[in-house]
Amino acid sequence: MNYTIALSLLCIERFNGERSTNAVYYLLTGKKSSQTIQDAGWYQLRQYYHAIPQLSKQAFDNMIKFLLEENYICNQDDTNNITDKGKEKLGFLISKSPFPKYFNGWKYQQLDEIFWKRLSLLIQTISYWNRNNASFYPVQRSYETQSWVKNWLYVMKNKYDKQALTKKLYGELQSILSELDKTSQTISPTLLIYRLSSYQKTGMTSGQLANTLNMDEEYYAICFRSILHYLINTISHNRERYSLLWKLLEDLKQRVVLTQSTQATYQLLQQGKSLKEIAHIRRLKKNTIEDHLIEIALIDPDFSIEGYVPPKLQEKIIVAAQSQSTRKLRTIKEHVQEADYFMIRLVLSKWSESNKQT
Amino acid sequence: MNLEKILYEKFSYTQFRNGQREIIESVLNGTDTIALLPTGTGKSLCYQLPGYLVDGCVLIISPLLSLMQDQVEQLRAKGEKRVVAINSFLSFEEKKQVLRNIRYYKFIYISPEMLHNEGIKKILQSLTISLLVVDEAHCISQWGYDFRPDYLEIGTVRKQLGSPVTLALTATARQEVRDDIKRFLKLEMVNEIIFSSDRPNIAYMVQRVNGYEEKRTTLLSLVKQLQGPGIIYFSSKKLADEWAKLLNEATSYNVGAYHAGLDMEQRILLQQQFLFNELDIMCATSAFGMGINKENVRFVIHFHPPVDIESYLQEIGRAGRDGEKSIAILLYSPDDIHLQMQLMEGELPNSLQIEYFGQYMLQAKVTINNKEQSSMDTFLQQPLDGFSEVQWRLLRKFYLSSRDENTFKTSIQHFIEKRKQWKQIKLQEMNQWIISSGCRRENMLHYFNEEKNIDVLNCCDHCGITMEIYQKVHSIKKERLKLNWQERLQEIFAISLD
Ligand SMILES: [Zn+2]
Repeated sequence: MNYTIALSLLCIERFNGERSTNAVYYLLTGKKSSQTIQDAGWYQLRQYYHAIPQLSKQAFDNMIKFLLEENYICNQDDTNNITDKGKEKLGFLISKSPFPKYFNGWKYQQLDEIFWKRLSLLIQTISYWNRNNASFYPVQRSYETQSWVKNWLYVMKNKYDKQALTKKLYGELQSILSELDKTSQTISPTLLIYRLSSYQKTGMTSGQLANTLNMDEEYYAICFRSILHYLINTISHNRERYSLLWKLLEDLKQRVVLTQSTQATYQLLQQGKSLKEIAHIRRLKKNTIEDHLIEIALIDPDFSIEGYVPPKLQEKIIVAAQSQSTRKLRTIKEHVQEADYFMIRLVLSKWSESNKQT
Repeated sequence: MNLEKILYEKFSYTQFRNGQREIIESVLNGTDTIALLPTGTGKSLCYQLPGYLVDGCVLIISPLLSLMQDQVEQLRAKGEKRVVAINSFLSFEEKKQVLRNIRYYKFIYISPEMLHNEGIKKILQSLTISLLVVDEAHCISQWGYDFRPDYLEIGTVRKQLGSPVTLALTATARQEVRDDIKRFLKLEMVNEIIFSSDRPNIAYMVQRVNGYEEKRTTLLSLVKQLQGPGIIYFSSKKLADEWAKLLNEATSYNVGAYHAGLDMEQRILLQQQFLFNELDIMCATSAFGMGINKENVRFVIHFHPPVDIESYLQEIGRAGRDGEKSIAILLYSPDDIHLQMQLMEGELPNSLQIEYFGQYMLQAKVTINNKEQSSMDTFLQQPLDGFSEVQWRLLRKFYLSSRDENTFKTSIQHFIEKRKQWKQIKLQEMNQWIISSGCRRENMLHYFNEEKNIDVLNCCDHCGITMEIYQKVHSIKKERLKLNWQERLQEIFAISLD
């Protein structure tokens, strides 16, 4: 539970009493809603989005209760904010277990999971294949993953012989992981390698490996995924050098996608329809369509908001937000009377999109 | 037709186990068959082998998703590619693809709720089904310990599929359950092949203790003495986790913990480690064991008594599949009754869960824009946090067959009340068995209307057991694991650096 506490305190601190406590839960579990996407963008929390997808609401609520009792957070304007004691605790937890630098929950949401499923099943398959043994219990049961691996092997068999393929895949993994080992003091390839199953030797479960390494299970899970993120990132930037590994990613789009309803709105928008028309066609409230636009502004760097907020006004809003160092709409509106709330939200979204760290 | 030849070619066995040949011949003769074979004696072979001798496919209805997945992988591991499971693990796209290629498959596993889907039913109707298998057929009966309302409709579906030859399989069924199986599956001329539920190579022992502390020390000393591999059943995830940790430190065994709180990948790995003898002992909840074909389990210990005799028999049946001497030990303390009551109630949804489910569905209806049956179906497929698979299926079943929220609540509550009364009786029978005098094997057999007609050496604690034969032969030394990722990577790829 320790690391959930750390990340929750971190989000609460960033939100600075401007967002509800549930918003923290939605962010950490990666809820796909315009509001959560907006929170992740505005408060520069994209990295932490979807960091603890397995966290149950019940466990989260219990933890918040604990934080209140221990006075790490306190009640403030219908929500919670971090206390000095909480800040100290946060500093302590993070210095003990630093958030891994390669981790990016926003960018690699779900991609990491598919990548791991493919990688682990592929390696197990090759390990058996190599010993002329085709019958084993696959570590991944999903139909999608199994057919992908089957297909991959089918294609590769025509290109390489067994030995060459094994050697090449080993070489790529050895090299990419050695580089990680050299550059990172805290994240060792051990965290990943011992999870792999091979010929007559089953991989460890996350719980077993965390235990063996004396790590908090949640912190372990994040470090493990950070290795996947490192791999995905490095492979994508060195496609030739890691040509076999690149095949695991090639067909996967970066799955940062709009929610379904927003996609429908975006299509109409691109056909040149106005907000009013879209609301009419889709039989939705204007508010809802506005939420969709906010989401688009947060996700699509090519989306221009000039048609909705003139550039001069955009600048004014940004200056107000910066000088007051807040994302609170009412405070910003007090300084920029001529803007409405939708305009302010849109500008903040666009601005955070262009500022985002990747 | 040489059955032994196929047995050897496809399954690498040289001879049939007790009962298998008779059942196989019965279905190959085109007779509807109810077969009662004790747990752990190779039920699945009874429909897998005939599959190779008929033209059409074998359709297997199986109650548990995890069990289904295990069976599919076991067949695949034997080199059979034409096998598939249609259940809620498949995404919409995957299901479409599987159904498009359905003719390719010889063995089609399906979960009962999928049979309600009209599209799937239509596709199944177009197939030549040479054998319809109803696995765990006791689930069809209200008198069974594991009643699943979903099963009731299999009879209708069976007619719609043109009444193919049917094989109903179960390990434990009293007469009234077998009658229900016939009635609900609409089987007319039936061949009933009943084998004794007795497994003479398993010794029965009940160890009475007073209170939790004594139970702890008893378990610890038992594990230190007994020859592994073994399974220890606990009533909660927490206990299973705690004991795995404790036993790892206190004994020379490698011990794992298995329960429904783990994700799919961890569960697969743990099963695998146990199967490969990388783990010697599994501390588990009742979620563990179905579909695991481990032959050499030497002991099964229950830290608490289960809630009915059928469950107990099924769980201890995981010992001694290789026919070698094994022992089942039940730790019993008079105050266990409270825990059993809790367990019993926990199998069914409680009123809070029903309320929560109702509200969740109200919200869901708003979210699901098109209120077509199919989208509601998909929505209900995976249990929410805090619901067991069994609870969820029950809620789902009652929800989909109710007109409105109120009918739903009244009908499910009525069902649960009746079910609880029934379970209460089963619980009493279990505890009666524990405290009764006389031979435990005989008492157990009487429960299933059977007679004990063979003498068993090391039968039960009342008849006398020589404990020495279950004790550890040689002690193993646990190696400390040295982690070196470079070496492990080489090992995986069988790369030697020389
Ligand atoms: Zn006896």
